[in-house]
Amino acid sequence: MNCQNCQEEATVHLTEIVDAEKHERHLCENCAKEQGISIKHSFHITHPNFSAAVPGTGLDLMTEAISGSSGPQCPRCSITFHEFRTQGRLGCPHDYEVFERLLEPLLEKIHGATTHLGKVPARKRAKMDQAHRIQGLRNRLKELVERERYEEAAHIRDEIKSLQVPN
Amino acid sequence: MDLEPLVFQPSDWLRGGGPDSDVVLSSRVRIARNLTDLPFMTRASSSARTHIEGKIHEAIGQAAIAPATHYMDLEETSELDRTFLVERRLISRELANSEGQRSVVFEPDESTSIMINEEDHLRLQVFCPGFDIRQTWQTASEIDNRLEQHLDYSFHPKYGYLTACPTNVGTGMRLSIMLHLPGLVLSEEIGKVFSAVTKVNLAVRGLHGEGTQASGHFYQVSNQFTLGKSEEEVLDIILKFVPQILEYERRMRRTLLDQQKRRIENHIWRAFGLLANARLIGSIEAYDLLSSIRLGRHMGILPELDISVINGLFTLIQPAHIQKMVGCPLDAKERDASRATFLRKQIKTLTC
Repeated sequence: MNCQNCQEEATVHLTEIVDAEKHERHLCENCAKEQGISIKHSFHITHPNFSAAVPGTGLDLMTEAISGSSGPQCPRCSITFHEFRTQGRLGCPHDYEVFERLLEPLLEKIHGATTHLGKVPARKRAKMDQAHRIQGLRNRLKELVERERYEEAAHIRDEIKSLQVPN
Repeated sequence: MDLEPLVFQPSDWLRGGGPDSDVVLSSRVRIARNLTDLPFMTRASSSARTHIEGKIHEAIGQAAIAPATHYMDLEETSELDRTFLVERRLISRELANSEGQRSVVFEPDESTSIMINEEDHLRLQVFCPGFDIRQTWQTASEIDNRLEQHLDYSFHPKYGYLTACPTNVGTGMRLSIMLHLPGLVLSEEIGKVFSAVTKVNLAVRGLHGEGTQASGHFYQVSNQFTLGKSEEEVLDIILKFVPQILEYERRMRRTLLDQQKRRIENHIWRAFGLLANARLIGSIEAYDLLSSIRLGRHMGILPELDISVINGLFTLIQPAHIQKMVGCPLDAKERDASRATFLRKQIKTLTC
């Protein structure tokens, strides 16, 4: 097919709907550029609604999770779950907690898991070790209270308090 | 940075070599990281973008990841030069086409690049020729550790490294192996590889990554999951599974040579003839023809060809490279003519 403007081969084919009427335009690369039509040489399937067609990606959950409402909103970046669903990208790290209930099933479907098992930044490692230690002491405290061993429980309580003091 | 000296020089890793280089062109590790308490790119204001870039630049300097690095402010870089960087795989197409303050820092040998303000604040890529994914991961992880001493990354005790897209959360790590599988394509066995790859939760993509078609019989195999498996576990899956694909490809090449020698020789020599004589060649056709002579070289049909030159041509024949070689913008037809001229000269040099 030749370009509508010149006799070059048409490589840009546009279909426009104006007032419910379909208009087709066939142009060569140069004429398309002259008319201000930008040509994207490739596109990426990143939109969740496209990804939904790919079995096993799990992104289809995003379209199911909420319909008809914009869903919860992040107080920090103000993104709504609906916006995330449309863009496929979150607005800030805090969203993982704000949308946790909706994201968990999505993560499960995408990765088959919801817990990180890999590297931990060195500066977070000590903090995580401390969190684990506090959790262990809390479990012990609960056990001692249940057994009515209050004196030992008081020691554990003080130890937890000392660990919780910010550096 | 002046890109002109790179125009005729594909980087070492793009020239192939390394372990299993008959089938594997290169291995890549990509790590996605974001700074804590700052918005992801979809919500980042112009001042936030500048702030993020400043912090990462400072950290790169402090971490001294390489004796020297090149820096390019992509907001100030022309579209042609950005495409040129995409063709050399130093930046992603997404980073090239996006808007706002963004940049890339790369080592002079182009084996490591750090994209800033891409989909995530920081994306580190490390490449190596051939199938050497463990070493590539170690290099990437060391750089990551050094940067981390100077940057406070967004990390969640349960979800790991937080990323803009939930498909990358956890390790933020993507391992990709670029495979050349003409034997499996010509013997029509490639479909079996696709279904087997999916079963072990690996993904297959085209030459230029997500959303692109396979051309020149090149396929990227990469891990699909980033959450629930450690980096080591993902490495083990790749190290166990990819060698099976390599053996399958080699077996098919041998079978083709044993059972259909004339057909294969004809296919390869026709490709050679076209590359040596054509006056117009589009990039997709050039990929397919170069793929055939690469196969011919490894099958012993064209034993005298320098494989590193053939491998490098896959980069040099791309549109931005061709335009920079000629020194002016060219439309598609002019590019096809310039590409054909360049390839004729290269083939002549290869056989002298």
